[in-house]
Amino acid sequence: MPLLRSDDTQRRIRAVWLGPRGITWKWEWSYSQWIVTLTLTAIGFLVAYQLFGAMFGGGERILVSFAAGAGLGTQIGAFVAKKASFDQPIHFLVGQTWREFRHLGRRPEGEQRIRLTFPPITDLPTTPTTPKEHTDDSHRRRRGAAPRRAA
Amino acid sequence: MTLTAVDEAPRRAALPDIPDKPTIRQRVTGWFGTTRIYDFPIQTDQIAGPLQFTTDGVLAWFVLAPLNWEFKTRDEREQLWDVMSAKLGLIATSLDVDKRPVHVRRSTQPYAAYEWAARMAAESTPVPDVPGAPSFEDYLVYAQQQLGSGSLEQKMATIGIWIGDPPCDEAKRDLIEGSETPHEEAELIIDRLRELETIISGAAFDGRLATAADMAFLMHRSMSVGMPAPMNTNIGANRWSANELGQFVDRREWLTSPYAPSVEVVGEIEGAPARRHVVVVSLGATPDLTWPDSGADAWMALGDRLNFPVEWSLNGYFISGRKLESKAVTELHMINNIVKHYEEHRMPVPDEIMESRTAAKQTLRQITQGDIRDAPRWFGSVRVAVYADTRAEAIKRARKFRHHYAEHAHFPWSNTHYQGRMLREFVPGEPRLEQGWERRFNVAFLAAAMPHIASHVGTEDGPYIGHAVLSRRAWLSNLHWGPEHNRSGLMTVSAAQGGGKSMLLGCYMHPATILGELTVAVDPSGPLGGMARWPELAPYAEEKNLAEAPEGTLAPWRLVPSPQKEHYLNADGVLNEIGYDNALKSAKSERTQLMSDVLRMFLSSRLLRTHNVDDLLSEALWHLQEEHHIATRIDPTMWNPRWIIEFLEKSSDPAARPLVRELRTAAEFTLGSLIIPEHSDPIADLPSENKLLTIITMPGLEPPPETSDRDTWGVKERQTQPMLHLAAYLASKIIYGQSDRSLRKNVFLDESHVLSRWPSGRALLLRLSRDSRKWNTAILACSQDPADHLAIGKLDALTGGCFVGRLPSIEAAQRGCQALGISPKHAPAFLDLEDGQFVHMDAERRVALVQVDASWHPSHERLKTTPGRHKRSLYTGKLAPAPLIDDRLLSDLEAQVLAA
Repeated sequence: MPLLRSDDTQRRIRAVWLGPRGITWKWEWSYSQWIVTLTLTAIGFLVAYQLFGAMFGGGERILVSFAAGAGLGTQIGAFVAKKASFDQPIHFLVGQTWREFRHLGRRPEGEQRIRLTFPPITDLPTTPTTPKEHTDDSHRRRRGAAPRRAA
Repeated sequence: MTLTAVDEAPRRAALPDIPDKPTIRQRVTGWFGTTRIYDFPIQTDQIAGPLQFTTDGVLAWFVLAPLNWEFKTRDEREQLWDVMSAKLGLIATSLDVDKRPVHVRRSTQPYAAYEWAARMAAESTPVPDVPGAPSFEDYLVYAQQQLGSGSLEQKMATIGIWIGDPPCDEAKRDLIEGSETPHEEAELIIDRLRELETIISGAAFDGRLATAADMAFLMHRSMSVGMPAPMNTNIGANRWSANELGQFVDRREWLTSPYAPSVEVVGEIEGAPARRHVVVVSLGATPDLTWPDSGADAWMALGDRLNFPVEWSLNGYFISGRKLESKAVTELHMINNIVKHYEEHRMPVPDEIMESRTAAKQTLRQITQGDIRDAPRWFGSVRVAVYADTRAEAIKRARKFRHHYAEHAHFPWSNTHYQGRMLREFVPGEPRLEQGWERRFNVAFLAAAMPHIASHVGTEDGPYIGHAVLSRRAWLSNLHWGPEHNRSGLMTVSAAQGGGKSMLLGCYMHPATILGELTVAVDPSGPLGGMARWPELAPYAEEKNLAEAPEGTLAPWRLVPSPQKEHYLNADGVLNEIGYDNALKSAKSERTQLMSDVLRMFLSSRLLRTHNVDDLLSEALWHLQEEHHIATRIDPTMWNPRWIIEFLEKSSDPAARPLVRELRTAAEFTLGSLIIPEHSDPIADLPSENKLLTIITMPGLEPPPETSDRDTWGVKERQTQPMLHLAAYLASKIIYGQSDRSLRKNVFLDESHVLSRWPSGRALLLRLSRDSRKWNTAILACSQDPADHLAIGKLDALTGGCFVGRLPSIEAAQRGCQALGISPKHAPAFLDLEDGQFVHMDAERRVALVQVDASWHPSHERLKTTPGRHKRSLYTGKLAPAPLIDDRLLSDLEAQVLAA
């Protein structure tokens, strides 16, 4: 029985970095996720280091900045890893986002987009008054009138 | 395109002056979210016949011929697939380039209804119109409306293959304008084009070079997805220059917004603005297939089972095995390293990694050691465009498409973003988006798509009868194509009662009559008799009720025509004496056999088994031929069957008495005098003023059930056999009544199963089959069981086609498969066919499931003879709420109480 197999089986392999020799992480991140996380951690560290200069000093500044960068990198890395797949790798997602907004094109000619703006109804000079059924006396209190007597 | 603007000036005047300033959010969403035109520079410079000049090179386009697939045997399917794989492999490896761009486009094309009508009008000489009745022109108009409607379409499978880099200006000019001394680059391109043409025009593809009109259709179709595209554009010039290409993109726009799920295509239909919403879905990682053994459809043809059309685009390139070797090695090494990495960490290697390693090894083996069917790869994007009038409907259809493939082929399709760019890939010559949703498989996998599968039966011209069920391709059927191309004109029709035989015959009889073809139909049960009263046919048709025919009309001897000398003259006017003598002898023996069979049909089974009966019948027939005082002096066509009874009455053999008694009873039967007249005179030649359409009916006949044994038949049932038998002979005489053999004639025989049970009947069908070609006659013989036609010896080899409709049992269905020459595995399909559906084998032995269409012409509605429920609404007035207590119930109870 002929078996037809596309090359997807070996192309969509999930490559994870388990850790350096002798150490095995408790989690399994793909190489892409590692790259994204570490890159963003570094960027986050540098930004935080500049921001937290007035608040912390010395070792604390480094520690807090690293924690902030690592938090940012881990969160975004996890988010990207969740969105990315074999068919939509990270570079594809980034490129797609860029292209979607880069190539906006012009508005269709001849089409009139009319935005109707409505002023508050009370500002209209000829607003019909609608009797309103009040369930309590709050409106009377707002006007400074005495509360309604109970029947 | 314009939206109706509400004139708000008066309203504004009444309002206080408020600032018309959008908020930041409105600004952001307004900028990014509003619909924008998706513009792109078209890559095509020029089109010349099949050659498309783009900025990336020259593409040669081919149109693949439709391939009948649904009833092919497994061996035939594998053979076709094998040849296709090899040819694609040959294309992939024929050029020494790293990547050879190739674009497979599958589209739907409306039927060229106008061209069909023009051909019909030019080639036919219809009968004069009847005032107040639908005319021939009306017929063409109705048919055009049906053929041009969106419900009928034909698949157009095209393939564009890269044949070279953009040539220099001189070479390009030579290619476009032609030259006796072409530039060497032009020569190279022509050489590659011829090479491709040789590959694609051969078996399995049967392709041809695309014309400029094909290319124009494809460009229009791709730029305006879902909108009608002109069928015949610029046929004369066969060229599209750079300036003319503008008409593919003018007056149409693609509107989309970031991350929109669809593209809105705005164009024009007959001057009026029209919109279509298009959703593009992309193919994800495909599962392994066991095909064609699994019996599933080819993976591209699977989408044909949906009730809406889709557009396919496979935009990518071929890579030869040699060029891909380093890539495959890298992939294998990477997987090996991953395995090693797990082992270093003393962790179990996941199963999917091991499977991937096996697959990578297999791929490497195919690439390095495989033949041209295994080694070359196709790499690119597989996309489908689904369209509808509204966005919601388009999205719904796309979802239906994805679910259909997930269920039947386990193919994952995904709605992707960046729809405008993905739709651009459908346009011939446009580049592929080289990121994401990329597939790679060998050419055998690509061949398994079978883009050109489309049920195609019937003829290129002729009346419109229906459509192929799977592909919804129009089914035109010229019954005289066989006889006029040296093939048999006999077609058999088998279907159970209510299967649509009468409808099929009627759909053939109607156009045949208005086209002026002499037509005779035998319809014992009579539902077709009403056609003689259709307003447009009434002056040219008659219903011949045999109950009112003169005595001796069905006398067997007169039903076998005597050969005419003028039909045996050679080109010099000399008589072919041998041929003529043989024909005389053949006619004589056929008459004797026919009379013998008719006599035996009258007799009961018990009497037939009596000793000496056969001898007595033979003796009586011999007596007529050799000794009878009148018969020996007159033409055999005037012989009277009563002479047989008279001879037997004089016989001294005791077996003759019951014989005479039964034959006398038969003669006194309701229609018995048609065969055995009451008088003993020679039967005079009866006037035969056949109208253009003659429908022979026999009301009052009660044919026995086909499945019952002859021993169980009553006298009345037995007497119907010779009637049906001889009526077929009577109808067939029309063939020989015309002096001009080339005139088109039609004979339609219902209840023809009687013929196959008697030697003379089988001889008649064989003679008709042989003579149909010589006399340009189309014959349709109907029965309820295919066995009736299979039983006629060599008839299956002499038929020019076959129809098998719904059958009541699996055994009958298997016989139907045998008649059609298809695998008996298809038998269960025949049990569930709907009314008017037939599996049809045409004169070129192509087989497909077709549906007779009797709804497009107002007259054809009358052909629907199967009783059914009226579609009138049960409730004609406004529905009232049901009362809690029915008053009638109370009154009944009251009456009961009172009665008690």
